[in-house]
Amino acid sequence: MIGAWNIGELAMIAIVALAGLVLAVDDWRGMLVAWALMGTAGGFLLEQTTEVPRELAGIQILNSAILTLLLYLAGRRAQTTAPKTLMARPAVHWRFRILAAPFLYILARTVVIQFPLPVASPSLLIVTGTLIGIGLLIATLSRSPLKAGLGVLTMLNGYQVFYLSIQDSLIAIGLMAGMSLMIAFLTAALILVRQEVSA
Amino acid sequence: MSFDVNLPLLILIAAPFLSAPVIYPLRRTPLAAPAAAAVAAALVSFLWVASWPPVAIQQDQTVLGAPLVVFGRSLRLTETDRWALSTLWGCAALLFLTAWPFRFERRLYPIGLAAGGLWTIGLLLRPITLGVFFISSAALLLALTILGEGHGLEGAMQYLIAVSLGFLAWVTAVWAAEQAALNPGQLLWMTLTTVLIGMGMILWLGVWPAYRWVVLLFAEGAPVGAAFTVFLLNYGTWFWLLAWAQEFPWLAQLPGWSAGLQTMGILMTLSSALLALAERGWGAIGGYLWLASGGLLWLALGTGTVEGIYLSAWTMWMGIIALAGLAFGLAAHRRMSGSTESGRVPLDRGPWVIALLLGSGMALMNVPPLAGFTARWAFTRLLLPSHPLLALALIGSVGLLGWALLRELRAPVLEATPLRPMPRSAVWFGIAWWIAELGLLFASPWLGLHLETLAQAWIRVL
Repeated sequence: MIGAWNIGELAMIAIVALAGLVLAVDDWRGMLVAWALMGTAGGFLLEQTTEVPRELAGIQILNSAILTLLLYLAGRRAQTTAPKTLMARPAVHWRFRILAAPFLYILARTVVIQFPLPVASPSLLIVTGTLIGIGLLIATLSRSPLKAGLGVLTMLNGYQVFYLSIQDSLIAIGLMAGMSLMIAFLTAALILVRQEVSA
Repeated sequence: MSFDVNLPLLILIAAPFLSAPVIYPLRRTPLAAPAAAAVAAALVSFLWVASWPPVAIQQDQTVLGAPLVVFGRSLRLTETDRWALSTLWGCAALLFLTAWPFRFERRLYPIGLAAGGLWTIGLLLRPITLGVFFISSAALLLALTILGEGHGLEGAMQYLIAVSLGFLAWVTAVWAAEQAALNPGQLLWMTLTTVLIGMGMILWLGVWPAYRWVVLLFAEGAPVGAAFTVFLLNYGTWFWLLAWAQEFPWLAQLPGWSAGLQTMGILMTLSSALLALAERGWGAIGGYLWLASGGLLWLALGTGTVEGIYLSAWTMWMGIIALAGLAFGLAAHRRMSGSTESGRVPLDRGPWVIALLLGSGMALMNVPPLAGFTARWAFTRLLLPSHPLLALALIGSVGLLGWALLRELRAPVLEATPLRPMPRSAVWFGIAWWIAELGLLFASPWLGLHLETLAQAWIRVL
């Protein structure tokens, strides 16, 4: 029987692996699927913790699903007229990118163990640190607006895991989800503008 | 919402959001720019014409009209906010008019109004905890104004990354500041707040090493949209930071506060001057000139002296005319040649465009006979006795920027470039701009009188 600690640990590893896939995969649909699963695993991890009410963990999953749908619709529209705009490969080889994910995970884990913060559980802080690092890497290495947007959203997703555990105000939590939605809309707008240009 | 509604305040907040959807369908027509400018100018007039009876909410705090209470948070207007919003909307009106002749700036009008409205809410909301979401939404929304017709995507992507990271820093800073208020005397939270505010400012103001997006915005983006973006982020943050210092009085008393602001100012000014030498193109040089000018604003504020604060506010007011000139010059250059690269528009084919680029560049460098020189001269005199090396380095930075500008002027003309004729609007705008810039010299004493409220608000918290 797997204990609660182990389930949390497995969820963490799943999140990091899925974020690594978002970083490494070049196919836009593959990226989106990995990102959606990452959001779901984040929600599942939040459900395992005592700091966050279960309803909020559900909202995290729902939020990821809505954002994925929005980006998928934008990507599909771009694909019909200018598919090359979605395929812009980062300059760095995928082998390096896939190695970066466990490296960032180990780095975040070491930092959290060395400098523990009493306000949130270590597992949430590790996930937050790893996702912010991977998200930053995705955003800065990518050449396509979809991947850059997914990088920013990965950072925000990681931050939300921490934010939900420390924030009591429902308005603030709602506004944070609104910010994710806004970034997804901006990403969709950038994809479609790029499509206009390419067409 | 409470029943005692402050109607003028409600109008002030709602007007930009009501007018943006009206202006959106007009954005491809010549009506959009004057309509957006009229709304912004009307908001400034409304701030001074409407009746705002003073209401004492605390023993030492008076607001203009009763606060508007929404979901337990209050929106209230103070005398300082009135000056802040007048500055922001006044500058916005000027930039809307600057964008008028250029079709590729069409996204600016509705988005500029909506972003201004969001920034207004962020400035007026108390406690400032939730304000960070509105301010950041405004900053994010501006990413769309940077996009021109087939250009500006790279800058917009980099801008989106910088602003999103900055948002994370600001929202964590709010949380750390709340923790500091809950645990008085704990240095950890205070230090964390200051560091996070510093990180947020580095990302939003384009301080080295996070400066690249500013240069890309001017070089590749829609120039007036880029100008609007950097103006709102710089000036808006100046007022937003004041709101922080008022909400958390201990912030400005921390030893790192002044040092942090000064370091940022020095980094912005000196790094821009050095990096400009390695860059080519009117747009990129314009970006560095703006960064250097912004650096002076923050450096002066960081001195924490009464003179320094006055000079910071003064530099801010002077800078907008120079920025509008630069934005128009770059937009006209882009319209003629399709880019802002060197050697595309020769002096004989676009004399007013080159004159505007050169003049606005000089104005951003604050060299004589342009109005900004008064502030630079006073600031140099203020620095010389205590920091002679820094004062000399700042003078040297002007020399380096001037060199970069001169090199751009003398760049060999690319013969094969097909050019569109110089826009006629460049002539009247050029004449108006030079008259305004030189007229500012004579209006200086009168304008200086109005800085009192802004400067005093900072002086009280420092």
